[in-house]
Amino acid sequence: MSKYVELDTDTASNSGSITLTGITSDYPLVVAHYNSVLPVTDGADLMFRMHEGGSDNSNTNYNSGVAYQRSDRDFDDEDGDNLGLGDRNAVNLTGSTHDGTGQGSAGIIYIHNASNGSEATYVQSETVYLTDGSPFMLGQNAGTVLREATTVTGITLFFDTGNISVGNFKLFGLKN
Amino acid sequence: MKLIKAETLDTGVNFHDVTDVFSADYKEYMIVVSGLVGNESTATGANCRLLKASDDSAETGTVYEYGLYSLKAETSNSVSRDTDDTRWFNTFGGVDDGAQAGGGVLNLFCPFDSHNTFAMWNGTNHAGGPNFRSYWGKGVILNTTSYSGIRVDLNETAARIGGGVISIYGVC
Repeated sequence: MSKYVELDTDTASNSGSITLTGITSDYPLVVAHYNSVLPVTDGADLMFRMHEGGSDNSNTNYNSGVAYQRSDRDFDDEDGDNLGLGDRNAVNLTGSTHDGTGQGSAGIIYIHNASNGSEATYVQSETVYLTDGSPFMLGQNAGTVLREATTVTGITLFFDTGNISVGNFKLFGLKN
Repeated sequence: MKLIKAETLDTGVNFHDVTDVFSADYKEYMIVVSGLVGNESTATGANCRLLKASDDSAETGTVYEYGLYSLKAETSNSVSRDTDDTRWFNTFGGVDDGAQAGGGVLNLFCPFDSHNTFAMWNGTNHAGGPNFRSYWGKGVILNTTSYSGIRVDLNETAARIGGGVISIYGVC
């Protein structure tokens, strides 16, 4: 019987980044969950990078396709509603997030094939957040590939500017 | 991940409430509805509302923000959205007019806590004969109300639940 095993957990408190580790070949699929994540700096974007044995991979080898959902207007007919993002050194989980009391963002990140050092790593992410300014809801659905045959051991989440004020993070592995 | 409650949906009713399942024990919940069918020939959506911790009553205020993709097999896809609706739509797909089962998975974040509740869902169902639907939604309730339960709510008030199972899991 497969098991959904907790691999790592962390809580942010004015933290520069959060790294969750524990990915091994025992887990062909690992899933990161986060909630109640607020930035110190209003308007900051929540990002992630793959973590590889002690350091984050910041090479420009992340390619993503992104579809947005939003509550303030229709979202299938304007430029920017769907994006292709190539050759990035990190991956956006959100756009500009709200720093107000409450919860700025939540999400689930599915990471496939991470520990296989002879294949690329694939990521599906679903996130929901409040925008900065007069907040409304935005959702983001993305598929990402790290175009490197590297052994990924974890994931690091951070804001593109400023620290993570608060937030809860967990990493699970689906064990065969 | 822990199963908090699983129960068979009431039949012959327009909605089904599950009370006292969200608490301070978990921040994230996964709600699974499977085998959802109607008991008459009305195809309609299967939505949700949250139940207040204070008295188990349904949240019927205009507090449900959402953005929803509706993926359709027989025609073009569409989107819908609102900043102040009275429910989240198609969280569990819908019911068919020919007893083909639908269902869905809803992830809720911090419903019990005294701040915003986020939602993400994927629903699917047949909708009138061979027409197939897949729904892909995100939502938020921007208030500090504490919610402890959930209502599975058919969109047409005349529609009735004919069967199905709801399971609520605490994720983390």
